[in-house]
Amino acid sequence: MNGIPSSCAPFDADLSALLDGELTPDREREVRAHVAECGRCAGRLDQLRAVDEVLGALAAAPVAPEVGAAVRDRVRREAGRTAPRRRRRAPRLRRWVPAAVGAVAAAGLVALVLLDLRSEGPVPMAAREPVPERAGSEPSRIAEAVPPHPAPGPDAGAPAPAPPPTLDEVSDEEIELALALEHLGGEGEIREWELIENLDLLEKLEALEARGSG
Amino acid sequence: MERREEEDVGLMLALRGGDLDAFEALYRRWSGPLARYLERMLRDRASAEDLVQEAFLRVYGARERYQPGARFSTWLYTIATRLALNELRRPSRRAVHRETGADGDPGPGALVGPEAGIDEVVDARRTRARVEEILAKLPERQRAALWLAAVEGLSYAEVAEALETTEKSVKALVHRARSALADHLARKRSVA
Repeated sequence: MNGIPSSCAPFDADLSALLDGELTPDREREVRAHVAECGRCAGRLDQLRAVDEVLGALAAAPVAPEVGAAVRDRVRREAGRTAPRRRRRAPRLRRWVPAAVGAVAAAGLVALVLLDLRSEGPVPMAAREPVPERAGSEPSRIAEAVPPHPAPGPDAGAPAPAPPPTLDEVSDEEIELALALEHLGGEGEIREWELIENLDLLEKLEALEARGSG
Repeated sequence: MERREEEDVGLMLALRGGDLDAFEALYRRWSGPLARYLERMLRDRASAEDLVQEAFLRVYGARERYQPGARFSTWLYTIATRLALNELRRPSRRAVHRETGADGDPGPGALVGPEAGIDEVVDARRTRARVEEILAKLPERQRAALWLAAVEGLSYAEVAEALETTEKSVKALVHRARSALADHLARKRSVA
């Protein structure tokens, strides 16, 4: 509001805080005393209060059912991916990927696929336009988005790395799969929806794992 | 801590213990208010729903590290605020605004009583539309601060945590935003 009278100026900036209950008791008494004697500030307080009423009446639309379905599905899959299963997979992957692609980075990439899906972005809703790449979905940004309120716990103990196998021990199928996963990851980041759209790769991975552990 | 907040903490602790029904209950309780907030922040329903999904996945992902302390809602809105601000900073983000569809229509009774006449209903709709319009024009941090404090009932300290700033700054952000809306509504009323 323009042209605040000089007698009101010390109180105007505190009117919002008064509504929000954010003033100290002493200051609240001072501001209330001024408002009780000042028609301008009493009117202004009513205007500010009216804003809250209007905001509170804005639409609270129900979330589309498919959003809830996608969240539930993702959480169930996460819950189903038990820790023992992860521990069983990781050494096997760490063994064959380096030999297959000759790059340690690829091992980290595949480990990311299997061990760290928790920190990936949302699954775009079916029947929507494709979700563009989102900076906030990068693992580093995601870490920033989760506040430290729940104190970070110690990392789950990673299994000791197994010695890499020789190339003779790696099948063509494993090499093909490793290269495909590396391609999918681009510069080292694989997003959940990319994996969802490439379920055939995951199925191959599952089959290889089943054979490897069998 | 109020009963509802205690229930949230109980649900979060149950989720930490692996109870997926607790997650479902938290989702049912908070997805609607969260979507409402994110839609105002992003001005786009589909993007808001994507971030609702992402925020709840973060909650699930962090369940084992959860420690009861601050309110669950504060934590959830902090996650959502940071996601929204990240999203708004994307250079390629288009400033789209979709009108809320039939699902999002709060109904003719919002802001007016059940006995309201047609003129009052129309006036209430116009007021809502004006507020949406002005909200969309506010700087994003003002928008977030006002919504979290005035609608979601977060304290300035909690808003400051969500916005990674000071309580003093939040006080200024809230007042500027609320004043801008009040001025606009007052001007419209004086013209009408």
